Amino acid sequence: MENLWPSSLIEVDSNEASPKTMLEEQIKFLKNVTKDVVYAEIAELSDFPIEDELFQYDFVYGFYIKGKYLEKYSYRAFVLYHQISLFPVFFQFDTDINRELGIKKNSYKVNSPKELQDFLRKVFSSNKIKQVVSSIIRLSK
Amino acid sequence: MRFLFWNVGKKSVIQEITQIVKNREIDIIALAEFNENPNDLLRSLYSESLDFYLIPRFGCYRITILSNMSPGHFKPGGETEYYTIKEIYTPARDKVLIVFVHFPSKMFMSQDDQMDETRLFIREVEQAEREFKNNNTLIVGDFNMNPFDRGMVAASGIHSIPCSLTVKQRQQRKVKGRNYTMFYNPMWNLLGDKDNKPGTYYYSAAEHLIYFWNILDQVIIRPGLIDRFDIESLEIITRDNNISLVNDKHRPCLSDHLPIVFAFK
Repeated sequence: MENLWPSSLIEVDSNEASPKTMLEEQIKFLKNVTKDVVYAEIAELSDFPIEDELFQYDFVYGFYIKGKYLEKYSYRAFVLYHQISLFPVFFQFDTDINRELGIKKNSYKVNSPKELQDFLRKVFSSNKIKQVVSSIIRLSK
Repeated sequence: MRFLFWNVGKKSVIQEITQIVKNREIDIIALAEFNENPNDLLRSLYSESLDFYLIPRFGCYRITILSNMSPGHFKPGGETEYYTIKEIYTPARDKVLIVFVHFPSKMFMSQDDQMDETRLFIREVEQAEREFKNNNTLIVGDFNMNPFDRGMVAASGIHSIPCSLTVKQRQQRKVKGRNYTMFYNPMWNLLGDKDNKPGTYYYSAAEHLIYFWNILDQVIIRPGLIDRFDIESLEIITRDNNISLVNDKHRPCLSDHLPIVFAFK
C-alpha cells in the first residue's frame, strides 16, 4: 500500500523558536561575553507545574546564573512557563527585577518570539542581573 | 554556635546589634532590611573587640550575614533575592547547610502565590541538599508566615512540624505517592504569652482574622540537627541589659520585628 500521509504533514516554522531555544542561544553569548567565567543554565522544573485559575502549565523552567569558579553557587533569575503552544510564555521574577521593569503583576506575559527578544534584552540589561554577573566575576578573581 | 536573626526594618540599630552580639556571644548575625553600611557595623563590633567579617553577597541583598568565622567557612549555594544557601564549615569540624530567608510580605503576594513561592523554595533547598550531599539543614529568617500557616506546615510546602520526637521518628512521610521530608519547628514553643513574649511582630487592623502577635521570624531544622539544637537557648529578645526593644505597650519600638537568638552544638 502506498504512503497516504501528505509530504507537507510536518511543517516547521523556522521563525517559531521555542523560548527555551532562544534562551539557550543567549546562554552561549553570556559565556562569550564573560570569557567563560559566568554561565547560565535552564533547568526543567517539570515536577513543579504552575496552575492558575484557567490552565496548568507543564512546561516550567528556571533560569540560573552560575560561576565557573563557584562550584555550587547559582542565582535563579526567573521562572518561565508556557503550554504546549510555546506562546504566550509567562515570566516570574523577584521584586527587584519586577520593580526595575515596572511589572506590577506576579507574572509577565510575552506573546511572540519578537516580543520575547525585546523583553529578554530588557531583563539582561537590568541592574539586578548586572549586579549578579559582576559579583560573580569579582569574587571569581 | 550562637545565632542572631533580626529584621531591623531599615532602622539604625548598630549600637543595639553590637550590644546583643557582645552580651549573648553571637557567632553568626543575619539581618533583614539592614540598609546601613555593613562596614559601620563591623567597626562598631570591632570597637568592642568583636572581630567579624561580612559574608560576600552576590544577588541576595535582602539579607546581610556577618560572622566571627572568616568568609572561607561559608560556601555559597543557590539563592534568589528572597533566600541564600550557604554550607558552613563549623568549629565542630563538620558541615551544616544554613538557609537564610526573607520572604516577601503577604501584603505584596496572594496566599496562592506565596504557596507557589514556598514550593519552589523548598524544591531548591532539597536540590542544595543533594548537591552538597548534606541533610544537616537549618533555615532561619523572616518567613512572613506564622508557624501554623499552610505554607509552613503543608507537606507540599516547608513541612515543618512542632514535635521533635515525631520528626526524629518519621523523618519523612508519603502523600499521594510522593515522599516529603520534614523539618522540626521549635518556634511553636514560643507561641502564647506565658513568658510575656507573645511574638516577633505585632499587627493590628480592622479585619476579622487578626492574631495581633505573630511569629514571622523563625528557625527550623532537619531531623539530623535536632539533638544538637539547644532548645533552651531559643529566645525572642525584648530587652538586653539597659536597651528595651519594646515600648510601654510592650510592642516592638526599634524595628517592627523583634530579634530571635538560638544556639546549636
